Amino acid sequence: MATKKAALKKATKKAPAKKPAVKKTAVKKPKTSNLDRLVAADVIPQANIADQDAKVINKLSAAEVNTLIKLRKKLGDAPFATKASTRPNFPV
Amino acid sequence: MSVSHSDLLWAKIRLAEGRLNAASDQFWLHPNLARMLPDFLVQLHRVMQGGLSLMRTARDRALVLPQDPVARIVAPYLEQHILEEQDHDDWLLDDIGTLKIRPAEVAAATPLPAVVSLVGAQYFWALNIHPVTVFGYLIVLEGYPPLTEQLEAIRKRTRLPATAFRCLIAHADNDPHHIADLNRTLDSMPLTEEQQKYLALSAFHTIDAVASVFEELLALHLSSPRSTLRKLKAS
Repeated sequence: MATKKAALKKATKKAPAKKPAVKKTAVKKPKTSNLDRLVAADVIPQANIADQDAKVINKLSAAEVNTLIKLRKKLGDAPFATKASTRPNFPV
Repeated sequence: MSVSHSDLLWAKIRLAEGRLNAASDQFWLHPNLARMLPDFLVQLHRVMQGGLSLMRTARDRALVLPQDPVARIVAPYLEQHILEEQDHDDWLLDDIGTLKIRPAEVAAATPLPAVVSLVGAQYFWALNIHPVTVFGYLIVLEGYPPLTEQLEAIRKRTRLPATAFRCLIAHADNDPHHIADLNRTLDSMPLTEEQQKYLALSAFHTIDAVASVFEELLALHLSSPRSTLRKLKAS
């Protein structure tokens, strides 16, 4: 009997009042340019980026930039901007 | 000043080519290249065969888009390019034969996962995005042709018979013309920004997959230096 009462009491216990939702104030981060992202990821060297190249780079889509960064990571510590000394690759 | 489609694509390719150059150098400068080269040719044969089927598929897809101004340029270009490339896999098979590898052995060799990825991804883009994406693949593969003097140096270093290099040498002669055609054709297309993006993604994937082919060949060699072809057959 006592346990039944306790269970009833527990069931009828009021839920705690909900706290008023606090509005999150969005902190706007300054947008990083493609050029900054690619330099930071060591895809391109910081120096010697011609204006024309910078324009091309900053027009790249996010998917293109992400893929370039992924390819860079596969190279590890090796410099990315290598010139091939040999190139008989896959002619079709 | 506006940049042409091909210049734009090449500017993007130059941002990614380090991945290809590093893997390519690692393979071609390897001290045991003579043992790995037959396997490279066998995998190249797979790529050549797969490339022809791919171009036929992309051409057929372009032909069912008659109102699409880009597809109208893609279809006749591919039709012509298929004709230009159509016997090359047989030439290569002859070259491989001079290394005492029979056609049946070439047919039995398992394509490397990177070879499947290289060609397979192009089907997805050609069928589900737009057949023009195959230009990203073709431009990378035609855009880094072998050089005759490099092939000659490799032949001397590996001491493999000159007959094993005939198909590669033919490409050293022909691919510069092909890449000029590809660039010109691309520049004549009214490409959208979306199509330019997918062309670049297709080119980046091609670079990554070709680099992976070299890495997989090197890994096979490391795990079994003497019988890589047998291992390819068994896998």
